[in-house]
Amino acid sequence: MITGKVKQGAMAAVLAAALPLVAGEATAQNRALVLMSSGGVLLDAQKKAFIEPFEEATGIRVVTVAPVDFGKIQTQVEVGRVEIDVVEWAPEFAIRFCGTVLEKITDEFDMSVFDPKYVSNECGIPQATFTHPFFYNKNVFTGDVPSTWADFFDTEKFPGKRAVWNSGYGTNFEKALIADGVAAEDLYPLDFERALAKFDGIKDDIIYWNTAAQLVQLMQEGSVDLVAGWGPAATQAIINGADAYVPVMNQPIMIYNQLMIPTGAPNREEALEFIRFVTSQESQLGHVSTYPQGPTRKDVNPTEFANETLKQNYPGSATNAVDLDPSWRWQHIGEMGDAWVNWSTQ
Amino acid sequence: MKSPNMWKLAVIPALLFLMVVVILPLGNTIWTSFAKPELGLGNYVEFFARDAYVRILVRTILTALLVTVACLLIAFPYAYLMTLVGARWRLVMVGAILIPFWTSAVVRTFAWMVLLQPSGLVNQALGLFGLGPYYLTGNLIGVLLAMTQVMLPLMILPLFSALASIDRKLLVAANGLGSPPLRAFRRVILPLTVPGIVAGSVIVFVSSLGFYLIPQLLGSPRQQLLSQLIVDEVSVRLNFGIGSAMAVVLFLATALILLSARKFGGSTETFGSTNVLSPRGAETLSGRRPVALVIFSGIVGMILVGPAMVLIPLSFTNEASFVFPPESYSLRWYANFFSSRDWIEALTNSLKIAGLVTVCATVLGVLASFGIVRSRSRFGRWAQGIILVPRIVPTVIVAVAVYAVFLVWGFTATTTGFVMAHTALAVPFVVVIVSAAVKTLDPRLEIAAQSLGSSPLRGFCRVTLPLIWPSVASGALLAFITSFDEVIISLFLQGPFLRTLPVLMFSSIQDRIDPTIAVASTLILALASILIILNLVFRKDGQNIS
Repeated sequence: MITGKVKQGAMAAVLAAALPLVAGEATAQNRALVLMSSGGVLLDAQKKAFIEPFEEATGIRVVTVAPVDFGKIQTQVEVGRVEIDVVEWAPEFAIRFCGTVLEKITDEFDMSVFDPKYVSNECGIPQATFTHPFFYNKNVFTGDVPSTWADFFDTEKFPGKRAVWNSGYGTNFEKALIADGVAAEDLYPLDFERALAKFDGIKDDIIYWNTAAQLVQLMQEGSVDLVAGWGPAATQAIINGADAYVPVMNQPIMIYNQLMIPTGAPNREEALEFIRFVTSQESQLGHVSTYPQGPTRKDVNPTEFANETLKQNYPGSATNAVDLDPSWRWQHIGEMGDAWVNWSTQ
Repeated sequence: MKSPNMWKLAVIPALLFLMVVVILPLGNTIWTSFAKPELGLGNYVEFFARDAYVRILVRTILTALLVTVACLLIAFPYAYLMTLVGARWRLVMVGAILIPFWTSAVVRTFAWMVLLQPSGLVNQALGLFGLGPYYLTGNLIGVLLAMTQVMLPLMILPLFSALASIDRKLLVAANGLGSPPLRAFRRVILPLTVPGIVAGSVIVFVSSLGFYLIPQLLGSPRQQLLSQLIVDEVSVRLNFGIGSAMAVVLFLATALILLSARKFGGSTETFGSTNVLSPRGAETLSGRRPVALVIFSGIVGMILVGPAMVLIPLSFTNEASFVFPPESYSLRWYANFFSSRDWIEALTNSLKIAGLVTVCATVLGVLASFGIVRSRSRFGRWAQGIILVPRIVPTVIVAVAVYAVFLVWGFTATTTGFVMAHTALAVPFVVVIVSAAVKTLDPRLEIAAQSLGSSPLRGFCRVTLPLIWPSVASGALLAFITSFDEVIISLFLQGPFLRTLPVLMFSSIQDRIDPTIAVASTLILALASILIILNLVFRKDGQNIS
């Protein structure tokens, strides 16, 4: 009986301990906004470059969520319970959802400061540019080194394992078509069959990565010979010790991100303030000289970089860069996904 | 409450709760599959018209089958040895099952990622024999290894319970009649274990159909399973209609297996695997313990316990990588965990939600157990069937269903929503465990108490409750851990201000190389160990009382 009482007491103590937690939930965040982005090393760099300075300057807490999930945002807008205030993502989505899931906000900003190439719709404010290049392992390829996408797909000239992003919405089709000799300006409409035929040639040598963490892990392990990667995450991996890899800044796919506000965002004012802060000349300059991304503003031209790797990987230094066509891509996003899933799951 | 009819009332709260939180949303999912974007069979036609989808469906079934067979082959010798060893060794063997069983799926999957990486321990071991390094993740090897390990406990427990209930005199009799041991095993033991084999295979197969984490984190597109496709359709491609249709197809596959299993004598009750919690209840059988069997079981035990253990030293690494063993040690990742607002908030959220779930699920579950056992009616059995649904249906289906209605009800990203969904998953555990205890109770004890002047309530509190207390405590602990470890539904329900520990771990694993994940894993392992010990203590008391 005594032990029984002790246990009852213990149970009561557990319950008592649980109650204040329940009561504490009501304490709301005062001024805050929720930023949805791809997270990872990008987020770490952004925190230093402008998120923390923004929090200090305004007293607004920035809560971050990753990864970007447009399905979630769309559902939230549909049922009228929006949690996300700012999304950083590809312009395809800004074009696709402008005026429905996303609010038209370009009127609130001075859009003339941006390179017009990156102003593609009324909902996205250009945030940064970056590249999808490839990297080779310098310990493996010592003599002749790969320098084009054609080399990346050439297993006879450059045998070895190739890391490839497992995504139909990514830039795999573009890379394969460039490798197959298609001119950058003739990429669209994408010829899926031709691109996948090119991929057939390397299928048995592919190591897939799904997330930034897997990409970084593969590079830190040094176990792949060629890596088609996200420029920023891969560069960060090199800085963190995966220094066997050398970027090939020839023919990289150029990408840019935009900042968007979902319709009905609960902290719309804070969100506008945040975007203004982030796209200022000072923030962009600070960001692109400490992180492997490029500016979208005409008046930002970094000359000094935090380290040599960043300079090597700077998007502005690319040759023969390949631009995407966001309008074509958003209209065919379903087909891109289907074609890739159908091929890759076989 | 003497009349069975009155006892039916006790089932009502749990029944109503599950109807609203699980059955209604599942109905809604079925409706959506026919109604969105337009009424008709369009989604099903599209599903079966696409090669990729059909291929993934077939692969999902084949993978589940493969895992089931692998589990059966590995689990049988282990379970058999459990019936041969003494109480102390059995406790060790049970512990080896319980530790993975009570450890979050995220932790176990992460452990495999660390072990199987090209420079991981497995490749280091192979290197000693001059082999490798091999790619063990991103292909079928890693996925199958991890799935089999995760499913093993679910196979061992029903097998053990079947093996343990065999009367050993039968073997003696068989021997006496001139049957050599091997034939006696084949002719006597094997047939008598069939119910255990069926129960174990069904639970493993059905659970394997719903795998999401392991193929997502360890596989490549060539291992993609239906659950991943469902999550993609619903959350990335916004196709609620076809996503729901896939969920229904998966559900039908599950139902088909369950119905055919019933023919072979399996019952839904075996899903609760009562014996997880009373492993020492069965008599020890004396018998020869072949050395090969002992060695084999030792290896199995290591595979069960070992993987998660590598995360403990890894959490003390001084590097920003998963290199194992670490080159130098430090507490920096612990400092990082306890100074990070994100991690601390996630931990607090998880504890809070699991605490509330424990209370809700225990109250609902205990009431329902009395109702089911004492009403002795068709209604009781029917109600039990409903209550067990969340354990039988693959969680990804429940997740999609619950998410769709919680969005409309405004329960996503709220503590209430999490508590409701997790309680629905936990109640079946409580019911299975507690109703087994209630069945063994002699109702005359309460009548005796009342005839001695005790009020019915007082009699219940003073006589009945103390007798079933160990089972109630076990059920409560299992409810706690069910909620604390849950990840699939939580991934859907999470919001920026409400993330649980497994959710944050899952996103961190995908996001970055961060040994803080190993710290979180170590804390979860510590908590699981405490709960397992508590559980064993409760059970011990239970046996003293009876």
